[in-house]
Order: sequence, then structure tokens, then C-alpha cells
Amino acid sequence: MMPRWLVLVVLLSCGAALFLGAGEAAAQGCAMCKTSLGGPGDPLSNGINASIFFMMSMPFVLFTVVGGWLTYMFRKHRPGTNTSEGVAPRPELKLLRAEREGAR
Amino acid sequence: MPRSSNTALADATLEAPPQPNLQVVVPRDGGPGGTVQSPPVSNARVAIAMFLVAESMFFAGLIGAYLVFRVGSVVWPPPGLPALPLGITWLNTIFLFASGVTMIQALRGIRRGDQRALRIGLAWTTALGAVFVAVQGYEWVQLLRHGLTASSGPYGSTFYTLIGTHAVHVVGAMGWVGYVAWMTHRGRYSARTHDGVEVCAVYWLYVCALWGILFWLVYH
Repeated sequence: MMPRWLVLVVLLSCGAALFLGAGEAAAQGCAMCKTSLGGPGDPLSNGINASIFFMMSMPFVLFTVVGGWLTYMFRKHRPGTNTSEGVAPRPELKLLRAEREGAR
Repeated sequence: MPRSSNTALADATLEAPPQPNLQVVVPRDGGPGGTVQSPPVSNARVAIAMFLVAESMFFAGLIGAYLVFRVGSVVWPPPGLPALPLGITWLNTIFLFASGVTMIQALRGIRRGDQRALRIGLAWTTALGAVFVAVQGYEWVQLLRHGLTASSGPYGSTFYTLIGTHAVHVVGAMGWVGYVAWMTHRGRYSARTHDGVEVCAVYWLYVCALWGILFWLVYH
């Protein structure tokens, strides 16, 4: 089995190759862009590229921020772990046996 | 004489082995077992987070449209149209960021149970927000007099759309702060219960941070 760091390196390399290799063909993916834009040197093409990359990154940014915040909050408040207010107490469970006659 | 079904059931119940009635008891208020665990993230916080995510995507769309024209233009601003006033907007930015500081002070005040600090903080926040909107209105009047209108091409339309949408959000946030101030006057919040103040403060700080991004993007 491959070590975790090697898996991470392979995945990052694949991702980098995918994005860097596609840099030349940015904003040329659809027929409309290809016919209406002047190519990589066209200012409007650069503008559309910038807009696409910005909007494409936003869901990842938001997911990371909100996911990181939720993870932090849940880890912080996990019972039995250290928090800023000391060790969060575990709720004690008591088993009560109701009187048989009382239950009736 | 046949026995009734009720009698048979009663006999069966008496013959069955005793079943303990189990209950989970969580002591309250610092009892020997501890306290009731509150959820890690309150419903109000999750709601405001979802709302802000939606707001972020909305503004991302507007900024994306702005980037198309800004990066796609060789000359910006276009010839014949006035440049945006930087000095007065810097001053206005300071006003809005100061309102963020007063909102944080209000929140810290209610966290320690200081109602007076909360009231003063909310009042300053509303006042500074009103100054921000008033200065921006004055700036818009000046720009309109210099010929920059929403129909002046992409420069005018993107400016008024982006900045105007943010101004609407500031006005809405001021209304929310006013509502929180009214609820504070009615004694709604305490050091233990102040989720309403927290989510309002989060929204106000979001609006302030958003202005920082828009100011850097549009005015520079």
C-alpha cells in the first residue's frame, strides 16, 4: 500500500498538470467563446478568463471556510476534550428503575 | 365461563419478569453529573453562515461581471468619464471600519452582561453606518453631475450596480441593528442569551469586510 504522503504528492501532481496544461486553452472551451473572442492576446478574452477563474474558485473558498469553521467548532466542543473553558464535562447517565407498582 | 381478554392480559402482565424502566437523566445546572451540553453550533449561527454563503455567491457573480469589463478593457476608466474619488472614499472606508469596531465592542459588552455597552455600541454602529451611506450618496451626486451615469457604458453600470448593491446591504444591516437595539431596550438579551446580537454582528462585519474588497477592486 502506498504511503499517505505519496498518494498526496501524486494527487497534487495530477491536479497541477491538469490545470497548468489547460492554461493555454482557458476560455476556449465552448464554441461561442472560441468564435467571439480573439484568442489569448485579446483583452476581452483575458477579462473572461479572470472572471471564470474567480467565480470557479469561490465555491471552493466558501466550502473550505465554512467546513473549517464547523470542524473547528465541533472539535472544540467535543465532550471530554480541552476547551477554552476547561475540560468539557461528559454528561453522566443514570439508570433509574421505576417502581413496578408505581409504573402501573 | 370463559375468561375475558382483559383478565388474561392482567395475568400475563403479573407473570412476566419485572422490566426495569430505564431513563437517561442528565443533571442540569451543575449537578453532580455536570451540565446539559449545548450544541457546538447554534441554529442561528448555521443560518447566518448559510445566508452569508449565498450572499458571497451573489457578490461573486457581480464581481465576475465587473472583472470581465475591467480586465478586458485596455483603458480604465474609459476616456471622457471621471475617475472615482479616492480621498473621500478612503475617509468613508474608515467610518465603516470604525462601525465594525463599535459593533465588536457592543458584542463584547453583552457577552459580559453589560447592557449599557451594548446600547452604546449599537448606537455608534448605526450612526457610523448612516454617515457611510450619506457620504456615498453625496459622492454619487457628484459623479452624476460629472456625467457618470448607469448608462455610461460598462464603467458606470458596473460601478453603480456593485457599489449600490453594497449600499443597499448596509442600509439593510442598519435596519437589523436598529431592531437589535429595540430588542435590547426591551431586555431581550443577556450574557447567556444573545444569539440575536451575535448573528447581527456577524452580518455587519461581513458587510464591512465586503466593502474592503469592493473598495480595493473598484476604486484602485
